[in-house]
Amino acid sequence: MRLQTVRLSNWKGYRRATLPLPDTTDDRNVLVIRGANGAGKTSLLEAVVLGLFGRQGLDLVGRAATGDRPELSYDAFLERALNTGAHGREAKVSVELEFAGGEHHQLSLKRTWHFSAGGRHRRDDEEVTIMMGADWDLVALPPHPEREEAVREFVGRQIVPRNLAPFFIFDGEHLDRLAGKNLEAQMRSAAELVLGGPELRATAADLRAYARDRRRDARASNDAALDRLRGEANQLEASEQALMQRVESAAAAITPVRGARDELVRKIGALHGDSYASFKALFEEREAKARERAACQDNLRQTLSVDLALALAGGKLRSAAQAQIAAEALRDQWVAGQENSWARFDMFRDQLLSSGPVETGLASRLRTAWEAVWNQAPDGCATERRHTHLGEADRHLVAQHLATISANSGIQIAKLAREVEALDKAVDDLEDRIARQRGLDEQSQSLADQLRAVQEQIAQLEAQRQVDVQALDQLRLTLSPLRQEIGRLVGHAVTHAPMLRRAEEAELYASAMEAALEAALPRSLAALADDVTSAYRAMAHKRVVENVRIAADGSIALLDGVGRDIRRQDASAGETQIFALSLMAAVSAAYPLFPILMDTPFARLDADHRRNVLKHFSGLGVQLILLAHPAELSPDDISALGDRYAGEVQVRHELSDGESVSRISVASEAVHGA
Amino acid sequence: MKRPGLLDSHDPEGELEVVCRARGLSPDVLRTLVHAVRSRAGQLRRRGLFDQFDATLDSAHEGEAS
Repeated sequence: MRLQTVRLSNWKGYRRATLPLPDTTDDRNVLVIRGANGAGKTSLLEAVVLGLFGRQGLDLVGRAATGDRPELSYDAFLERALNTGAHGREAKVSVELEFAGGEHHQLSLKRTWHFSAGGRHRRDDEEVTIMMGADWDLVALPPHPEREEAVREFVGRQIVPRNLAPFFIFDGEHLDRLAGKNLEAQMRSAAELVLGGPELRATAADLRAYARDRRRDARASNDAALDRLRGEANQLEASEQALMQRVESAAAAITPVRGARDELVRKIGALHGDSYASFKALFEEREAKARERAACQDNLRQTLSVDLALALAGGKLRSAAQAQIAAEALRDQWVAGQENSWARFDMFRDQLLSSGPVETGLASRLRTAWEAVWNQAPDGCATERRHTHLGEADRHLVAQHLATISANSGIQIAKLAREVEALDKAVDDLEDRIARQRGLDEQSQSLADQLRAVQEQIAQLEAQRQVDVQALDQLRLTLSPLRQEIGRLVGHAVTHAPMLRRAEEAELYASAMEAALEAALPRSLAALADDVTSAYRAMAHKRVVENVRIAADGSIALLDGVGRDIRRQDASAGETQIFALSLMAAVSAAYPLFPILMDTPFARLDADHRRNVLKHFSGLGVQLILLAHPAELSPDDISALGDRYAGEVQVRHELSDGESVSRISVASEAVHGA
Repeated sequence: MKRPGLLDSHDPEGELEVVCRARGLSPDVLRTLVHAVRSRAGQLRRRGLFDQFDATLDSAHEGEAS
């Protein structure tokens, strides 16, 4: 993978800058970014580090003051990195790195930091955009706060792991620190890296995540729930079994009792024969007579209820009432006739008196005689009216009704009463006959009593059985959904059995990957030690170190000719740097996937050492980017690179409108021998 | 020159082969699993990776069963 372009916006002295690096190949792989002190070389290196790793890269930046609160140092560093021209307003700083080569052929990573108008870094607003592939496909990243971890993982897998970055991106100070510090962990990482460890460990982690996921899905079948349901179902099934046994027992108990009943019935039938039929006929006749009597009594009751009072009053009273009503009717007729008669008398008297004088008192005698002749009360006329409320028509209806009752009801009622009386007698006779027949058959009576007892026993057994059947139905209503749920869970478990097997196997493979890595690590460390030895011997002209040994735990020893570890003795600053550079070169040789960026690491080296270092590193074949001020790399040094030299980019410092700015220009490309 | 990683070595006495043999696992299945992860490198969500694990482990199981 080669760094191709760096784009900066508001980053330190760069207001807006594009650094197009000259093309490099495996054979022509050395670039020089040249600039005087303060021109912006180190700012470029810092941009690459923080662009790749964000806050995780802070401790790779020599000028960042990391302390107990790295997030504050990060804020402070970025706030200082904000270009002065962007102060006083909301602003953003961005670093974009474009790489060529690698698995996806090209890849771009752009990191943007946002700042308030007061120049404060807005921590949560950091943005990262990653594109890759021939079509610059955008890589989907999760939102904050998961984004940073996702970016770290991506950069580690696709560009360079953060823990190995110090082997590829360094300055002189960093070399000193690296040479002096405990390197065990980093050496192990480097040795693993060579073995393809990160990929194997990432796969192992993914397999374990996969196993967890599949187990979680399988656990959705929920063994505990299944056990609980099975426990409940077992209890209910035991109760069901008991109830079923009781129901069956009841049925078994009822069957012989029913048999006994049937036998009793058969015996009774056999015993009676014709007499039993006769008894039955008598009973049925008695029932028919009783029904007939009841009907007759109903009829009598109805007849009596209609004119009950008049009927009960008797014939004399009804006759007297009839006579009185008739006399009153006659009286009404007589009274009405008298009015006409006296009218005619008045006409007669007036006619008589008009014919001439008549003796005194004649009118009075005529009146008396008229009354006696014409106005005498007829026979049977009522002397007074007792039924004054009756009009002529009412009186007629009442008289007619009384005549009907007198003529018919008495006979009808008497007839009905006689019929009832006769039916009473018939029923009594039949009951006597039935009673006599019963009395005649004591054996039949005994059997009937037995039959009654057996019937009661059957009823009790049936009642108990019914209770048990209802309890059984109720229990099955509870049990049925339980059984369905158990069936569902068992089905689920069966379905997920392969899932559990895969989870087990996934973990076996994950463990195997890690075990293979551990097993291969000593070999890899030994090979790395050989590479370090080789690099050291190529770069250090004193050749004090005969052998570099890296133990299984990653600890390093620089052994001289007699086996002494010279790291434990005082070594010169230059020798220490050569040792550190040997580590860099060894790791780069074993893992030649990322460019080497060196920021003026040669200050402590003499010319011979410097050329040895340049020669060795350029021979590794990876892109080698040297950031150097003019005095660090002489024309002779460049010439010594030969065909490896691919070109140079110059950065310079200018004042523009009173502001300090850094500018970039491509000074030359592969001007060999210049 | 970059040395071959564990996955690239098919030496029967290589660590990967030895460990797999000792555990009754298939080095080919192991490589297929790693390749599944590699093919999704850069895809942060790794959509489909677990399904591919399913298929790989199932095919290994079927291979053993047959």
